[in-house]
Amino acid sequence: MTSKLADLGRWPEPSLLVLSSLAGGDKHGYAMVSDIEALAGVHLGPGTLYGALSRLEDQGLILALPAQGRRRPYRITAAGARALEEQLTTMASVANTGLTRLRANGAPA
Amino acid sequence: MARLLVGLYPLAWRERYGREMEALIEDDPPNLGGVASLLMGAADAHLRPAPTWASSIPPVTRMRLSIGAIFCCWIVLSLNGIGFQKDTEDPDFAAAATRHPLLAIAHDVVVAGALLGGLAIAFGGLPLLWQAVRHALRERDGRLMLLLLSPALALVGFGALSWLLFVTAPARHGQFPLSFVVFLQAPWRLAGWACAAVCALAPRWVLARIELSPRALRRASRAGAALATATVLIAGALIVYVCVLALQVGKLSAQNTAPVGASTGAMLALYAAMACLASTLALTAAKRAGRAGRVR
Repeated sequence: MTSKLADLGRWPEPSLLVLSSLAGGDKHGYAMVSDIEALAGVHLGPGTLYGALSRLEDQGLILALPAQGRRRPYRITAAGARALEEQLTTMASVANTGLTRLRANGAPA
Repeated sequence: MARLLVGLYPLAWRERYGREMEALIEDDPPNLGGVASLLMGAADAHLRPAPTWASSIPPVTRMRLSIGAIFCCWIVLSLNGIGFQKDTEDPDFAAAATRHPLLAIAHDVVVAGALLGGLAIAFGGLPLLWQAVRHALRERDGRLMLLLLSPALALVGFGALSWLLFVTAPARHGQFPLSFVVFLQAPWRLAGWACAAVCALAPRWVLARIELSPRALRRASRAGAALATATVLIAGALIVYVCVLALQVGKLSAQNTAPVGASTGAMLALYAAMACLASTLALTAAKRAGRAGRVR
């Protein structure tokens, strides 16, 4: 895991989902929750979501935009995009290697 | 409901994210898992504040909030202490302590912690109380006066309910009739919790309403550090007491003289768990108050 995401302690997986969601465009909290549920089948609780948002903002990986009423959209920063790409590339490499080995050796009996 | 849940978060956090989170909770009402995420998120925010929002609160306000939190933890611990004293007042416990020195030592450490806490309250808390009373009288602040009196009023009310329970309770141990449990014993326990909540939160509410000199705050912060130390002593001693009682005096640990409820050992374990929680929060608050006090 990149050092940036590793610094997020108990929040790395929700943070990854939030960054992936924001990679598709600026969103506020509810939009993120709905998008993450659609893309990963995971429903983030409000406490989990805002814990991740707080940590990501603290790390400079996302940026809070001006509020629209009570809802505030967020945007992924350049640093956030780099951290996300690095993490997803590593995960894709692991996934590809694992699948290749499974197909080569067959699943255990 | 949304505001109640968001209210669990630190003030600085609420100022930064509160409105957004309330909007999210209204758009997407949390289920049980969502409520759990809020509780855990609030605990995480208290224990590991992020610099981006934590620094938005002035140091004086942070000290005030932290000191209020320490007093709150101390009162929760004191109420646990009353329960501990009540549950171990049977002469069998004193006899067990003479046969098992660790029990006696643990009990003495609890008492020593209580004394240390009492001294810290006298040193740091009473001057604040005096300032609050003077402020309330000078400004004729009825609401502040009510807040100052609220613990006393809550204790009087709970005392009256306890007396009622005592005079109406059937004179027996265990096997209480269901009607007694439902109509008197259960409300009594709820009233006890409500009284405890008022006593625990009153200092925090009072501190939020009055202006305090930096000198008084620093004094209270030092007293808060001593209080936090006392909570750790008490929590540690309770853990030792519970373990020794369970392992070496199992019969006493397993006894149950309450109408409804767990064994003595289970109740003492609950007090120890709550003491651990209170001491963790008190230590965190003391650390924050100390850090805020060093900021110029």
